[in-house]
Amino acid sequence: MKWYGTVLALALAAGGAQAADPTGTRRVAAGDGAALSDWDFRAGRLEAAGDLRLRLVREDELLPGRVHERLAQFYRGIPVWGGELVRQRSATATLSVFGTFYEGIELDVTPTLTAADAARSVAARGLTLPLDKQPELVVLPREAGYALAWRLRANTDPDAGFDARMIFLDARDGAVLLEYSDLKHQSAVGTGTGVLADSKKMSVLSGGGGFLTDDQLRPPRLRTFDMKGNLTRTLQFLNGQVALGQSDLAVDPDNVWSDGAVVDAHAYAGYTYDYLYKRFGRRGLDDQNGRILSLVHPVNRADIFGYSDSVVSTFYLNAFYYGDGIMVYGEGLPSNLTAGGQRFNYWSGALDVVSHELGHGVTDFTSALIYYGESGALNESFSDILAAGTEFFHQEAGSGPLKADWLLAEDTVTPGGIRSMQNPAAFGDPDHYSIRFTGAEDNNGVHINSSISNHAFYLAIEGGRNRVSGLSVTGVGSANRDLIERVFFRAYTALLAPSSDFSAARAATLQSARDLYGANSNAERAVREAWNAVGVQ
Amino acid sequence: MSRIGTSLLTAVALLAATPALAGEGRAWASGTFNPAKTETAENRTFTEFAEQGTLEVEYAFDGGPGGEIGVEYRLRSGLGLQLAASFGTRDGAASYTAAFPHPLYLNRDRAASGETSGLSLTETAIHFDLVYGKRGPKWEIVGFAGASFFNVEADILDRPQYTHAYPYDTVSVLAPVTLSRSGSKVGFNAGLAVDYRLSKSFGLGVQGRFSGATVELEATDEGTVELDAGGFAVGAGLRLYF
Ligand SMILES: [Zn+2]
Repeated sequence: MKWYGTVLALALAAGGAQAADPTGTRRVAAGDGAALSDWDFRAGRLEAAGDLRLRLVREDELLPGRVHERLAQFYRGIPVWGGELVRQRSATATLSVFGTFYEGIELDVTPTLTAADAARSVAARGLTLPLDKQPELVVLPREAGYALAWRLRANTDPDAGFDARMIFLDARDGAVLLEYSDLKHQSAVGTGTGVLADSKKMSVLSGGGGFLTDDQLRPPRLRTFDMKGNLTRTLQFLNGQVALGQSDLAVDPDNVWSDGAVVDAHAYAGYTYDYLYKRFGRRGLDDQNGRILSLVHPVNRADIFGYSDSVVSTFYLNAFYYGDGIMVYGEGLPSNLTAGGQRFNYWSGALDVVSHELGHGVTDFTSALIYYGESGALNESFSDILAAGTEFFHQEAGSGPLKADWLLAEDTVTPGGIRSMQNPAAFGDPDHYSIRFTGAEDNNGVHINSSISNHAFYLAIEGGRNRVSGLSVTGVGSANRDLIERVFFRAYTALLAPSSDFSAARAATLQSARDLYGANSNAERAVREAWNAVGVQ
Repeated sequence: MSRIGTSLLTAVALLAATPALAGEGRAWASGTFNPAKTETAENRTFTEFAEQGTLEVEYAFDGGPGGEIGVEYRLRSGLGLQLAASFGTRDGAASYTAAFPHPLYLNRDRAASGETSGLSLTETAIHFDLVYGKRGPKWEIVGFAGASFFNVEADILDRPQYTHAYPYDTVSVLAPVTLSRSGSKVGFNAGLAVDYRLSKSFGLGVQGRFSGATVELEATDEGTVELDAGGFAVGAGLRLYF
């Protein structure tokens, strides 16, 4: 079927212009009196024939005496979706005609599918058709030509994230011709106070009289769910038994956010996305702007004594990447409790923790290092490497809260954090391959032995002497940290395979350094010296 | 020409048609030129992305042409009163620097700067003066001083519109948009005129008038533009005596 649409933009004041786009749609912007009188005349004739029907008349609020008439396009009594001319008139003349008019429609307007059939097919997908919005038969202009379609606006199940879908079903065979979300979302930027009482911006969604933690500015679907201490619902979600929707997002009435766990989970997920994009050109965890969902408050601090040790260690004393872009941040401990002599704050309150968890997502979508033994230690180490990189990218170097350093989780687990890349031995972790952990605990030491690769990364940047081997490394210097960050990122995401070991990591980072900066480059030399120093050949 | 000008002309005509008055009158119409540039700067702040942004604009309006009409009534003592209406036009340009808050990070403004020309400024004024003059058979010299009521209409810069895309670290500013804004203020004026009488009723004259007032124009956002109106306008034109 041949068809073409004519897009009119006629105004006395406009200059003449004409352009064509690939669909064959002609766009006209004619400013001469002839074009205007042409379309004024044509509109009058189409109106008389019933192909244009007056839909709405509005007096101009700014220019007294002007009237705007909206003429909807019909084809044999069926509305043409999107076809409309808008005519501006004074008491004596037509002053402009704008709009879109579709020409060359040739269709049988008798539907094979009934309205009830269309409604049933939408209901079969679990969508709800509001009672006052019955299917409407329309002519749908598409690139491939015109189609007779049933138009329905139906709502999704709130459990799956509420949405209003605009759906066009082919009136002959029920195929979906076009579908889109018809909810008018609006981006908003607010401010929030983090776990450590610092201020930051919140990129959120405005709607329903409040603000919701759904970042509208960054490319991926980046949302933060407030589980409100409901561990059952958290587990149901992780088990795939319920979906989280808009009503699970954290809410704030005035866009000045004060729940630090929410603020930091949401903002730091964005910071990490930004770091990945700006440093490595990577678009999120899967490089395709896949979703990033953060869950906070999976439990309440006050409920801690009602839970088993395993719940406490997972949902109070830890944060984890579940998979599929889902992060869960533990609640920390009530302020009067400590574990191992340390206090535990909300886990999302540390940028390196957030980046570490998201780093597992990047690994999942790339090398998929198996979370066991040496490959597992490399998986852990890559997350620590990203964590440190993100900290130094966004925070000032230094010690203390909100400073970039070589400790992990030091802003959440105080004092001291949980690991050191500079001095692994301070936490009892090996800083040399010869003293690696070989026991069965910790998935054969994934968190313990990660320190060997972590320390190599540290030495390649900062330089220094390894405690065990006594070998010295000349680092590239912290001003050039981006070189080593790229070397490791590229090696761990692009070159390693799921069961790679430390030796493979050494080879891959050297390869990566040569690829990026050339053989015998400063970066390659620093990386070689670093692996030598930690005893990995 | 302003409505004030038209009514003044009417007043002149009425006075001229009334020879029975005790004193004598004088009316004039002059073309003027005001060579004084007027320059001004403004700092505006605005809230965007939950943070304060700033816009600094510098305006420069060149001197420009104008006109003046007036009527004077003088007693035999040489003292008199006069009422005049003047207008002047100027062309101008503006340059700006703006800091737009970053949507994702605090304290990371995106800078933008630019300039635009083709701004116009029109000032109209009514001057009400005390006059002292000496009238000879051919020459006449007049000094005057008094209050002026200024009305200024000028193009000022609107906050520049821009586009940006993730990661939003820079902005692309679209063509600056100007807004026409007006403001009024009472100021002062003083000057001198010299006439050469061609006949009993007509003559030619030159004049100079110094006038001034600082007029405030309200910008969008939280800002005002303060413009110095007036200057030293010189002119020449026709004189009518009655
Ligand atoms: Zn981890």
